[in-house]
Amino acid sequence: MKTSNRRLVFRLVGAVAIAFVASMVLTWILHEKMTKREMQRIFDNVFNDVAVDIRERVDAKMLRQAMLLRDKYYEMREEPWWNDPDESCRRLRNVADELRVDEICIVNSDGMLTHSARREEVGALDFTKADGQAKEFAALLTDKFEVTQPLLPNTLRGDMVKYVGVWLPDGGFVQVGARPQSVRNLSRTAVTGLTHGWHVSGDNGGIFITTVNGTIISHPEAGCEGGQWVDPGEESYCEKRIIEGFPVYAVIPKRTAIVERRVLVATSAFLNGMALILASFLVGIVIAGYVKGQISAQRKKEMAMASEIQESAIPRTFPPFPGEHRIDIFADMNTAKDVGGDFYDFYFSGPAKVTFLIADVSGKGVPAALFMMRAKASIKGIAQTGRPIDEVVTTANEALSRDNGANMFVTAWVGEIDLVTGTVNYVNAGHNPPIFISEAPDKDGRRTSFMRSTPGLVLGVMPGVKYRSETLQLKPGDAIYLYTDGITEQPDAKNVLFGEERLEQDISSMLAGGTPLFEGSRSRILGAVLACVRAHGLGVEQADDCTQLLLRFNGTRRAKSFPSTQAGVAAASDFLDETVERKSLLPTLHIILDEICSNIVKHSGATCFEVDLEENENPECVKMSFIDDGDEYDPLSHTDPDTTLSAAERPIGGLGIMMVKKMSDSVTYERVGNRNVFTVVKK
Amino acid sequence: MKIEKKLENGCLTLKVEGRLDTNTSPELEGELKLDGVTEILFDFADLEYISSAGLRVLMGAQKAMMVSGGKMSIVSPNEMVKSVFDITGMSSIFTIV
Repeated sequence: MKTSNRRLVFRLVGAVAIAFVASMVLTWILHEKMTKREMQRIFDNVFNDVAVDIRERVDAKMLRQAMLLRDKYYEMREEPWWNDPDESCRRLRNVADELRVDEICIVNSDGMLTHSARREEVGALDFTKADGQAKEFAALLTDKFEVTQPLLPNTLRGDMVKYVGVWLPDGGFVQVGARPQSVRNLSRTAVTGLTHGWHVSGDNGGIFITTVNGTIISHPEAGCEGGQWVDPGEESYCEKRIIEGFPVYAVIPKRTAIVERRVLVATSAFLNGMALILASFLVGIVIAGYVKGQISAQRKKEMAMASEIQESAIPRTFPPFPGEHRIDIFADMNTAKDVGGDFYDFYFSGPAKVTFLIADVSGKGVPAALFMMRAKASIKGIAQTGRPIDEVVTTANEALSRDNGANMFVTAWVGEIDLVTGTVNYVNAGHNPPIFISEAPDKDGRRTSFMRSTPGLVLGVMPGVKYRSETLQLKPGDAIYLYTDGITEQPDAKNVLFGEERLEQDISSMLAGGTPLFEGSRSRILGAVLACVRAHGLGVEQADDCTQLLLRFNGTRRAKSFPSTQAGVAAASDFLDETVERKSLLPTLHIILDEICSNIVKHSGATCFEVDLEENENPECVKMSFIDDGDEYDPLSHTDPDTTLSAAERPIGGLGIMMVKKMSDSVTYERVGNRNVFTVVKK
Repeated sequence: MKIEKKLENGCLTLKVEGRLDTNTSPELEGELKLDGVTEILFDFADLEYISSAGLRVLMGAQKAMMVSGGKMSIVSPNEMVKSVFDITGMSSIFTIV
């Protein structure tokens, strides 16, 4: 588990690191490209700027030549040779040399090239129909005064020529053309010193115009005057372009771009780093949650197992002593957490003695469970030696107080009942007072009372304490209800505790409502109390373990419930045979049972009925009670049928009850809650 | 409960053993087919006890015999059964032998 978690962490950290490196490399590559594009952009701007200036100057130079040509044209057209193509051609060549250009064209108002320094071109070009470079000049025939072109491929021949034309006021235009060398010669002085003092890309860049053989003409006094010059120690990018025939060099220090890149990379690294730290943090949280989940799942499993072990240590089978009818025991434990500190126990501690107890260990969870197991085993081990209950508790306290490093303690109520006499000896070691439930109501009609005594010290705290036992005599049908403080100390939403008073009230009203203490081997009372506690604590966490135990002393009394059917009556009849010791009374008892039970089945609408049998020695008698949850009906309220009538007139109904009355020694009817209780005594 | 049934010359003899109560009396009632029966003998020597449900069956038979002009006798009931007859006043109605 741990190794795999560590491996997971390593993998995740590795992935994060790889992602970081990859992102940085990508950033670097992207920036490299962006830098180059940026440099290109800077170069484009620089060259555009310088090209505009160079062209402006070169165009001005060329236009001046075109204007000179126009002046000459006005002179030449008056000459007699003007209309001789060969002569005019030769003359125009001289004019071209004079004007230091390579080509001269005279175009008439129709756009036809009429005169040229080149004989073969005369009449060969119609500017109104021309393509390419020449097309632009057609505008001089209609709406422009002058047209300048950069060096472009000649329309007729394709070699690079720069043409400039000016209009003729009386129609047509003149044009001069210069090849690169001529352009340079013509305008060298015009561009000299042009870019001197230009600032390119901050302070450290430069732009230089040179001749074809590399002489810098843009900075005639470079290095001498505070003019801009590149730092020879500076690593730089350099690019050359030809503008109007002039080689132009732009120099931009690498630093310009790299500084920008450093900032960019640093920023990106910072942002990346932050993102990755955040990512790592999130991943960490996820891992922590995962690991925590695993640990808590493991812990939960262990707690569940501990709980299971604890549960299995507590008797959960009811009836606990099949065949032992002198007592009924039912108990229930609901732990608030996986493992609680409550427990109950019961076992024979003599041939006719049963020890029963309830306890609550301080604290919760595994330590409480461990201490609980120890306390349970201690008390049981000592109790089963058959010693009196006060000695049992005193000795158990000695054992639990020793080696109690965790300073835990346990409150306990331990009782021992004599199954023959119903005498209960008990010790209360700091536990809540149990509730005594008598079968017969007292003069105020109450059946419940707290068994308040001075509780002894809790167990496990102080060795040498002597515990004293007290005695309570149970009559058949009496019961003791034990509970832990999880019941009484359950708070509600307003933090009001359930409390002892409420507990006693609830039990009282259940009994008054006719809820039997036991139905078979189980008791509905415990579940009903728990439901009341839960309802009280609605919306509040269950505060503590809720543990309850109910013990009823039956003595010789036997009780069993049956479904309210004919089969139920047959089963009740069998129960009578099994239970009653004084067999001589059986036929009479059978008749009584048959009459009453068949009445219940036929007429009461009950779902079930209970038969309680009690054989008493003194006075010697059998007491049979029939309890059903049917409609209220007092069979004794009817007058007996007239038994003197003749057979023909004799009614059948009412005979049964009359038989019961006459065959028994006493018959009583009582409505308790929603139950009919019919009791018959037969001596 | 166990019932032994014998029909001779219009005389139906029913020997009932065990208990005659709500559970068993329907069975006895089922055995009482009285067509052509002029006399019924209930042999109760081995009957443990009888409840009102059993009395009801006997009453039914008694009434049927009275209508048809037949006879019905109960033979050797034990003390328990006899006391039930006494308590319920049946002793005055039934012919107990």
